[in-house]
Formats: sequence, structure tokens, C-alpha cells
Amino acid sequence: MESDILTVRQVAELLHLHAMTVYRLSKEGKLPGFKVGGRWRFRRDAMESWMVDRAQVAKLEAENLRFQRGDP
Amino acid sequence: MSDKTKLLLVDDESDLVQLVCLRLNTAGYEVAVAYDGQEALDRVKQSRPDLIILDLMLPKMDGYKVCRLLKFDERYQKIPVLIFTARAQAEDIKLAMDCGADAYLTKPFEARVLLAKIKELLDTAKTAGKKD
Repeated sequence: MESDILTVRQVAELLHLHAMTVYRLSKEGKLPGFKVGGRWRFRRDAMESWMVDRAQVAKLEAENLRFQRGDP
Repeated sequence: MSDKTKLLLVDDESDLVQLVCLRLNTAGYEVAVAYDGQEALDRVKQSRPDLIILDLMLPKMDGYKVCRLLKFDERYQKIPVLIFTARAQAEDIKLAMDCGADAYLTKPFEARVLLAKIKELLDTAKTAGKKD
């Protein structure tokens, strides 16, 4: 059964990032992680929601650019 | 006082809030923002919005609870609530509707789809208001 909680290594694999990048983004508050006894952990549903939000941001940024240029 | 239609946007993702706000402002809406569930309830009490755009996964209090509390309160139950969320499972949609949500939009969506949904809900609320 899949765990509901992910480690730094699992998040790194999921996002195809280096573990150090996951640490950095977590410390900067850019990934939805929390600390347990000094170790970073991530709720699977929070990560899934975060990924969809990033896709939504990218989509709106692209739309805004088209909108500002007056493209159809 | 502004006579623009007032929207309350509730989401904890600041980049997303900024982009959606920009588009809603361009469309002529006045937009207030809340970044968690408790703040959303406070904002509704402070300045009654004409429509609420609500994410489900929020800090402090999730969107389901915010929606339920508003829809069970006589003062606010007529304010349309549009859920916009990454949760796309049928049970998530059913739960949101059981909490009294008026419409449901799954992320990622196009801005024009959001704008059309907002207009539709505001028109419905206006028609219902005239009948009361």
C-alpha cells in the first residue's frame, strides 16, 4: 500500500529533482512539507495538490501573456 | 463606495492568487483575498462578497468546512460558492456539493472558463434574488 507520507528522497524521485533541491525548496517554503524531529516529510495529497497548482499557475501565465498580446 | 461586483478568492497558493486576481480585476471585478479557511470566514463577515471562489485544501480550516459553515448560516447562505480545486474524484465533488457548494471547477482550468462560471452563478443569484 502507498504511504500517505513522503520522504525527501521520494519527493525528489516524484519531481525528478536532486534531494538537495527538495531540501532547499522546503526550507524556502516553496514545497508543502513539514518537519518531524528535524526531518522533512510531505503529505501525498498536499504534494498532488501542489503539482496541480503549479500546472494551473503555468497555464494562467501563458494565458495572461496571450491576453496581453491580444492573441485570439 | 465602489459598485463593482465583489468576489472573495480563497487559496493558499500566492502565485495562483496573484494571477487569478489580475484576470478578475481585468474583467471588472473587485477582489478580496484570503489565504486560509479562518481568514475566509473573517473576510465574509467583514465585507459580504457577492460570490466566493474557494479552494478545498486550505490551512487552519479546509474548504469543505468553510462552505458548510457559510451555507448553514442564514446571513451568508445565499452567497454563491464556486469550488476550484485539484481534487477531481467523484467523491470529492459529491462531498463539496453536499456541503452546499453551487459549482465545482477542477484545476487546471482556463481563465475564460472561470469567468464564464462566475457570470453564470452571479446571474442565477440575481434571478433568485428577484424572485424572493
